[in-house]
Amino acid sequence: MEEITRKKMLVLALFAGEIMLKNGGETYRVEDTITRLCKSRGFKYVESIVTPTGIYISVDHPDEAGKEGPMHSFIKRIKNRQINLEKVAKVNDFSRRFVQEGLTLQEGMKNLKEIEKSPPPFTKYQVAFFGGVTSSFFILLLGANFLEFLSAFAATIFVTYTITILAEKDFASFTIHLVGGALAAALAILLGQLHPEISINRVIIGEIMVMVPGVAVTNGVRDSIAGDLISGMARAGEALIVAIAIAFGVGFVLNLWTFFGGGL
Amino acid sequence: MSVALKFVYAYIATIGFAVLFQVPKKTLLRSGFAGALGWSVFNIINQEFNSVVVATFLAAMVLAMIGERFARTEKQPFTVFIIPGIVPLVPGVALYNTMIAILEENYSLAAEVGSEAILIALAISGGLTIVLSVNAYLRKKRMALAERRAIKIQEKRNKMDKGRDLDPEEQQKEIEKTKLEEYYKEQFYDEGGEAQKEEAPKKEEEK
Repeated sequence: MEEITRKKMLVLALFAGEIMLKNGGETYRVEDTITRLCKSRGFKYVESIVTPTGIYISVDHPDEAGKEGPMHSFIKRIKNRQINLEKVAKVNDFSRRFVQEGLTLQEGMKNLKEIEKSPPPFTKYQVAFFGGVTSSFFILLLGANFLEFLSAFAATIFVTYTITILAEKDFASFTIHLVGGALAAALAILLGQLHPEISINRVIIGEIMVMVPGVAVTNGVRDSIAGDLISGMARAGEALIVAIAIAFGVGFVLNLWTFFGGGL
Repeated sequence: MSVALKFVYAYIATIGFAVLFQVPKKTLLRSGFAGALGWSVFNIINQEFNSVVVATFLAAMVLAMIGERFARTEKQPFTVFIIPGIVPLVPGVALYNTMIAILEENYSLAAEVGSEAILIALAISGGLTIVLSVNAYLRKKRMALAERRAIKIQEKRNKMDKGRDLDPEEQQKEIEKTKLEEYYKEQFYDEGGEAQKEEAPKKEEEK
């Protein structure tokens, strides 16, 4: 393999890993994908370490004459992460095709760029609407009445839309969830004044369900099982920070409310 | 509220979570089914034995099992099915109650509810861990089988055209390639089961 091809191949593997990691893929899946992509194109020695904040790859490959080639390392820092499981699935599918069907590097890169640019399967309005659906049906499971069902539906649409917009503007995760929690509590208090049958607590629980760090929790567990202790702990920390941020936002507003004489 | 009604509610709620996490559109219904099944298990066990932690543990196990199953039949990453289903089990209510107790400066209640939240979180991890590690072991075993199969295929190929004289290094390369092919078959095409495993080498021979 020529020097330039080798470099291109590495960049492709790195890019595939980056898309997966940025969109909520598990660490072990990213490592596995990178290793398989590289090995399929003849790299003899591939080693990759992936943490939620960065990807490190190192490869070595003797050239055609059997001479030892230079060793390459690539590092990619991952700054902002979002959740788009469709992209993870697409890259997963791509890696299978790339290995089995022997796509060329150019085709592969083109495919990856298409995946990166592809819009999420649901627009932010749809996401907001389904946020409402989810929280309202969730509190129905907890035994809510019809009025609470309606208020959770309406309030969560606002909350979900706000956190989606904030996430788009690249705010820190702590800020997003703090604002989300505060907004959730404020809306619930407001709706609670409309009718005595609406319990503020239940509406808040419904609203904050859409912010619960489910991906971080699940991936943290999976990473820890696979032996990626750094990633596992990092994700657990992420989940903890999000939980604290939500509690802080909700608690602040509720405290203000009781301070000014309102009851829960 | 009847179990069936709760199943429907959980189904809809899980689909909502799936949309929040932007899962592929074609897997929405399956994600919803996994979540609803997990919640139903949680609900029934919780009612029968009156223990949230045990119920969560069993629900997480069921969820992990069905998630792995769907991942193989649908050729999608496992996360797509699991994450939306896990979220309703996450101790959001317990955490919220802990926070309220802290606000009211009722620290003994906070410790009580807070430890319940931690136990629930541990139960989710425990349930997932057990199923996933058993599955990882089984997959490793299947991979070892696939490797052996790859070597056999390679040997057969060599027998078929004797004119081909590969040096050992190149042969090793081809074995690696066949191994990769077999690996992907294992990971994504498990539906055919035994029948497919029998067919695979035959196809190679025809070529």
